[in-house]
Amino acid sequence: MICTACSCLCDDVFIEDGKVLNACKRGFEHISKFKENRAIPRVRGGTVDVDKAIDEALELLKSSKKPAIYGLDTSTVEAQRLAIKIARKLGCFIDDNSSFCLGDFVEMILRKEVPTTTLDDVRDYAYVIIYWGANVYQSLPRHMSKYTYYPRGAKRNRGYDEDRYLVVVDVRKSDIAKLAKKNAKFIKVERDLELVESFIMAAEGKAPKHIEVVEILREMKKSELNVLFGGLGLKYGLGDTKILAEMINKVNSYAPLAFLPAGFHSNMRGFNETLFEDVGFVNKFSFAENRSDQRFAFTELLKEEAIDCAVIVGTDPVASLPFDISRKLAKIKTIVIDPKDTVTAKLADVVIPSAYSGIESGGTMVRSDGVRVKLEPLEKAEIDDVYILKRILEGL
Amino acid sequence: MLRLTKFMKFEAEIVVARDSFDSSAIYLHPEFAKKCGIKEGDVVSVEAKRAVKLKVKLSNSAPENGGIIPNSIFASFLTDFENFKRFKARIEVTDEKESTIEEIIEALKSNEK
Amino acid sequence: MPLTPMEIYKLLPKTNCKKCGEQTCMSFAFKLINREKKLEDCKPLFEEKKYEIQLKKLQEMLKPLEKATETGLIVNEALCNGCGNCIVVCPVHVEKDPRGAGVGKGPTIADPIYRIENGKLIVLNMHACRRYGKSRILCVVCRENCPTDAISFLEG
Repeated sequence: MICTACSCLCDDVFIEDGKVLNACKRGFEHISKFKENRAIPRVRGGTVDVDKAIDEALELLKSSKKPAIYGLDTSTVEAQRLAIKIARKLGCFIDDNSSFCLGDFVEMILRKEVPTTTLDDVRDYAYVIIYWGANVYQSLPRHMSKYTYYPRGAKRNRGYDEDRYLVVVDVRKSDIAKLAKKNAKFIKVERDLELVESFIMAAEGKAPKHIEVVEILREMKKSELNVLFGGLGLKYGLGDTKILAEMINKVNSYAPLAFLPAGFHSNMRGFNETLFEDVGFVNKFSFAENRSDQRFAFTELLKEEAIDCAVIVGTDPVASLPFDISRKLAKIKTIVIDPKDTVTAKLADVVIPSAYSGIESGGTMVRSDGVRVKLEPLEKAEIDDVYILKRILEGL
Repeated sequence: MLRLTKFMKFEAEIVVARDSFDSSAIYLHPEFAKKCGIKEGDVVSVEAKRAVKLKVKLSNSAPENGGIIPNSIFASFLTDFENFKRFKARIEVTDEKESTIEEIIEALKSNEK
Repeated sequence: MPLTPMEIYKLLPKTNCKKCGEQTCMSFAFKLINREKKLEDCKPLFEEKKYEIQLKKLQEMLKPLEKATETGLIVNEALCNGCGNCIVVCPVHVEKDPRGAGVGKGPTIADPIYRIENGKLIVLNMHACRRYGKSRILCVVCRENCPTDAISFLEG
């Protein structure tokens, strides 16, 4: 089966004699505990049947003046397309977690502002592998063993200590920083911008503040493919991606460097790509104004009290957003579509239980590098995101 | 046993990590915990914008002068949007029980509508 | 913490009495770690009262040996995240399973040394480990690439 616990979408996971094989701890929890803590159809706290919950959701949406659709990062591309259709029909806002996660990085790639690659090519050809602000040991546990540093690849068959050069950049000595030993570097940064500027300066042949960058560039020169994985730490450390794109392109004038995002939920990149194909933006989009804007990010909409109703699909904003934002969310009408009884569901006006994509429901997801993966679910639930969203689309 | 550290508050640097850690705990750096006289299994009150009570675990990957709180409703409860990933908090050992998700939902609802 | 022969030697009688069949107490210490000898083989340690405290310490010190495999390996499951670094770097896996573990996938051979089961590292076939048997090599590649020190060996 395909593991949908994170954006690695590992394809070698299977179940044998009741044991989950090859999945990491995160994957195992995802696959083995999907039957626990399930959502039940509810309307304002009272249990109802699914039809009633969908009807009630339709009522809320019809009476809403300024609705928003949010989440969808663990839903399939097929479900994401339906949600976009609903947003278009309602002329409303649509956004996902990527607006405060790595959406900017994906947008940079989809707009072809920086060179990119696939994880398969990284495994086969990449020499210098930079992790910047991403402790993948926790967020994407098998990233290094399955795709980047450790596997032997077509042109990288002598093992990590000879055929790879690892660079870890972080504010702390993270788990993966401990792996940067031989033929490797750990750079502890306080200000990410300083290191970005150092790369630019070194590529221009000037002496940078972070002198180790010179050696890293020299190593890059040895290979036709090197890769930079940007994580949340880099995104938050920099704030603006413009300077990062400038850095990557400057480095490319000296030695090849491809860029990939490292982090996020199973199909966050899928959301970015699906929306981008349709409207030319990756997230925080308003169908009323037909444009994307920082003000249309779900968190901003809540902060500014710009919406009166939200459809929340497969995400738990109350658990992950700052409390002041959650407080605003508690004030508006909320419809939660989720397999899990999340904290947000506990507060919602309407809860429509769905199925776990990849376990109980099939479809397509997009790996963090843009490769499309067809899911191989264990079961086939009747009611999943696609079913629910289709009913809502038809009911409007 | 009376513990001196019980009445002392320590300034700690907190990193919020999207980790597969136990979400209702704070992971202190062993050195920092030692300095503050906090032991694994203690319950500490962590006070930033608001305060939550969390069980203490130890982790070497925590910042040397503080700890990690996994990205969860407890981390959210403490933060505002400007200090979403990293913030300073005051930590002290408490005899009270750990905070529950229900308590935080109640806090949310109390301001509802 | 890896256990060293030196630490054990310090607590032995250090008389080189040869009652255990070894020439020196130091070589007895080596054999203890390799589990080729048992602590009980050191007769004076048990017979003479003056070694009582040392004996207790030694018994405590050698406890992890019971948990370890014949290759001296101890896996701390609580620390393991199932990342699979150990599986992919293992030179034996690379050689025997070049299209599976060698390229980053879960092992595709029937008897890998390691496998991830239910999100945790499981030792399936330590006989294939380079540390096993008479002509062993003290390979530590898996341990070196575990970010949380979930893997340890009794010796180095």
